[in-house]
Amino acid sequence: MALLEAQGLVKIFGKLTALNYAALTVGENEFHGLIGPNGSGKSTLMKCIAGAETPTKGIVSFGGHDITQATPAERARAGMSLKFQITSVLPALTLYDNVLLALQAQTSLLALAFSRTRGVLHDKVMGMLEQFRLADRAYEPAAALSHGQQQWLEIAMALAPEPKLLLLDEPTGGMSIEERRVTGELLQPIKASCSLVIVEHDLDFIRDICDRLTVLDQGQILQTGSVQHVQSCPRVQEVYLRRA
Amino acid sequence: MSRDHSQFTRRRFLGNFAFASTAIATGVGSWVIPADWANAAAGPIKVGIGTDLTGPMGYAGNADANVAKMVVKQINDAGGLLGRPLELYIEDTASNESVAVGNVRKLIQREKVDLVLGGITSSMRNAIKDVIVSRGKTLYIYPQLYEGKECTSYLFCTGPTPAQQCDEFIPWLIKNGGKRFALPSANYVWPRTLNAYARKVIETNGGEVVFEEYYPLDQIDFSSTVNRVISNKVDVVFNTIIPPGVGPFFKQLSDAGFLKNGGRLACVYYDENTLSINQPAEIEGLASCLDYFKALTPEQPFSAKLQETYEKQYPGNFLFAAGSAATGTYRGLKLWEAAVKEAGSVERDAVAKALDHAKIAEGPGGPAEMVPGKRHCKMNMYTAVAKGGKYDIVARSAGLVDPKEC
Amino acid sequence: MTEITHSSAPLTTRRQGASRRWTVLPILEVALLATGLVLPWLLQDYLTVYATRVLILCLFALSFDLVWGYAGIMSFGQAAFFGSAGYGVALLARDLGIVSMFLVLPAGILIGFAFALLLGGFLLLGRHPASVIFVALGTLTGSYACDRLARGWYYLGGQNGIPSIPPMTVGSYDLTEGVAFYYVALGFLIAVYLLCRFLMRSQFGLALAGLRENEQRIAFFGYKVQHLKAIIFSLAGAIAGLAGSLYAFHEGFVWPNVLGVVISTQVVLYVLFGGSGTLIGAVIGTIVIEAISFWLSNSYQDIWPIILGVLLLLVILFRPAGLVSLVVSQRERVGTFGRPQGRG
Repeated sequence: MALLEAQGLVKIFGKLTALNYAALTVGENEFHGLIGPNGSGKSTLMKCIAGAETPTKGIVSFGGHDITQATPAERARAGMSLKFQITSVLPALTLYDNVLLALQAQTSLLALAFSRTRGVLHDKVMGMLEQFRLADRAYEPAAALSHGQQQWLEIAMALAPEPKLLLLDEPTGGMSIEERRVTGELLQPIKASCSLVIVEHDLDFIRDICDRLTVLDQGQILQTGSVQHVQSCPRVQEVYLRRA
Repeated sequence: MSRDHSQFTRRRFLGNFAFASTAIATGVGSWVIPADWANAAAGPIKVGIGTDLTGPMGYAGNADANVAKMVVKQINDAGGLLGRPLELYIEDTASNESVAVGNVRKLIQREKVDLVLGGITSSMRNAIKDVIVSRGKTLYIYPQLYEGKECTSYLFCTGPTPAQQCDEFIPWLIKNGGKRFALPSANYVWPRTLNAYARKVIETNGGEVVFEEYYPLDQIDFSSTVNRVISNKVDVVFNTIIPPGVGPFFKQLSDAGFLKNGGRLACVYYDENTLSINQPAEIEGLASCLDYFKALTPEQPFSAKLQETYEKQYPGNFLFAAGSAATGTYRGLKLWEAAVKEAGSVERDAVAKALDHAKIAEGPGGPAEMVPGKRHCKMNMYTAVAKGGKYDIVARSAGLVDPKEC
Repeated sequence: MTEITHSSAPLTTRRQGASRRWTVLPILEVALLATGLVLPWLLQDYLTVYATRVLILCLFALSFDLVWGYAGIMSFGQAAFFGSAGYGVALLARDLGIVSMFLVLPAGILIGFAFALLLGGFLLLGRHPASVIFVALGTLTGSYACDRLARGWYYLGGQNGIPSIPPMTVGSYDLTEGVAFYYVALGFLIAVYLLCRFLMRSQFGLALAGLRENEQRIAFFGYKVQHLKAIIFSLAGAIAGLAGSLYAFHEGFVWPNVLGVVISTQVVLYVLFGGSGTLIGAVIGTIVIEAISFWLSNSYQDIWPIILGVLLLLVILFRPAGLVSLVVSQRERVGTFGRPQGRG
């Protein structure tokens, strides 16, 4: 059984049909890339999966449960985590506090009031920061980081609660080549415990880290399958050349 | 934070810009103890006045403060009270109950006065009486006409009560106006309680209350009320709307032709100070029933002298008038003076006991007498009608009228 | 409310040695506490009564700091809870003769809490987060509506309000204004202050920081955002209710103004002036504004509101983060929430 299954997704904004019976299947421990030209509906598809949008038609199921109408908080509790395109770390808080904020989300409010989990989560926070090479700056405000480092911090925050599925929307946006390489390095190890759906424009990056790809064009699935299969598909090449 | 002043009071207030600072100066000035004052060692007797120097009631508050200054000066010039000079402290209650409580507290806790006289509206009296009487354990004299039923110990009322203002006035209104009454009112305790009493007198005398309505104090548009008055063929508008609404109301009523068609306006707090709120034509024939009118001065030498003294010392726009508690202030201070003389001290219980039956032989409008055990005051009552912006006396009570309270 | 300085260059290591800069807030708190404890011995009776009133207003200001400074909810209607509790306990005293502190204060707290839950539920808990403008206007309207309702309802005294509220009793002792009431008010202020401080520095405070900065984002982490908002708004309402009850018994009367827009705005001013999001800033702002008003109204009886207005304007223009920002760094203000260990 697939971890994530989206079927027959339709999303209409007024006169615009952003998704036209789109589908996506992601298995466990799989890195799945979502590509397509601008305006093809990648972000909309991501948002429907994440819960930021509700599809007009269609079903999204996660771990066997129908989550089409579930709230973002419910999806988070089910094991889904995400990082949006726009950086949304909390700039005034320290790196440590940013990660702690993400980690403690599932704690009950009463336990939060008495700071019950502060000690318990300490190791996890530091572990996460180390994994993303930010531990030495743990107590500096997030605003002090470079743009690329802020992206890593956000990925760390998204991974901290040990989700089953991570959704990344253009994580390498604005990064230098070196930073992209490091991002790829940082993402590799999580495959053991987590699946990934990643929207990207950088095709090399996608090729390097993903197992499977899905190509969207004008809200419809053009092709889906292993990276090699999709790459060699003539229609895909045509779409990319045409819209280059 | 202060409330908005109406156009009317701002003009007047600015004319007395440095009022507050001169008040204390007067008080201190009158406390320059000549070396030969008996009892100079006992120090001054402190009189506190808490009244509305600013805000919509400023026109009355300033008159009261002036009267207090006049009386204190008079007493000090005559050698003081019990051989001690009087020292006057004046605090602004600002027509704002919250501010009032803070400022009256100053009189009680900081200046530690022996008497507080003041408050104009009933809501103000209610707000400050606790501070003075129960928490402050000080004597309180309330000088203004009001709705009655104030029977708190150590609280003495020297202004007219509903019985004094309605028992003879309303029959006169029925005879000289008509049987159909309207009661447009401000929404607070004085109009509500007064109307309850007035209604009884109206109905007992064969009259009828066509409608009785209550409006927020800051309302200034009365078109629907005016329409109801006209369409219901009301004869007498027994008004208890107060400033700032009363001016616009009377104007709107007169513009709609109420007076032209023979209607009668009645307003028991309307005096010489409020006459200037409207144009004379808008209040032509307005009837009021008070303990004093300036029009009495030709026939009452004492009143004439008092009026003249006041006008000499305080020329300007704050007139010595009965609806503004000025007469009640005079009466209250003189009765208190008599009580202190009788008690021989300013200790509260002694003075209260003496004040309970105090009398003055001369006052504005005539003598005055406290009714023993009732803490209210008998006085002469007069009905007057506004003609061309001045009052004409049309009826006089046959002697001192009983307040019928407590 | 935080000022963000973006810099891609990492901060210098002066941060490590700058731990001194982190401890200004506790110094302020202790200094004010010490002053508060000895004040009645230094002041005459009349000023102690004035100071008690200021303490009660400080309590009220704390309620606004919680919702705005910590949760990012711009409530222009805190007076609705302050005043309803005031009216509630006044009615209890007038109609049922209940004046025992152990009954009326819990009643006031409950009224503030319940009303805040109701109004907050209506304004804040929707599928999409309410904008600041919407909340500001909604709470303003709520406050205004309460004022007009009280003004027109004769049972509540109409324009007059409810006067002559008897003193609160503690056992058989009448708590009138003076030194005793001062210490009672101070005690409550300290207790509530400590409670808020504890809460705001806990992990719950971190969750609120997230709510304040980016409400939508933290929903995706799994936070029950509606619950967070409801809790903080109701807690603030309860505190406002406590303040309102104390105010009613201290002043001896309530009237429609205690519900209305003027007092609601006043408390916003106190907190913004002192510096929001620090708790002590709310207290400082209240004390400074009330002290200046008092001194000015004594010395410049006619124009003091104008002088006060100009002063407020100047502070907001040149120090928009409030007076507290003169001594407290932005970092200390935001604070940290991790396990307390030695760090820079």
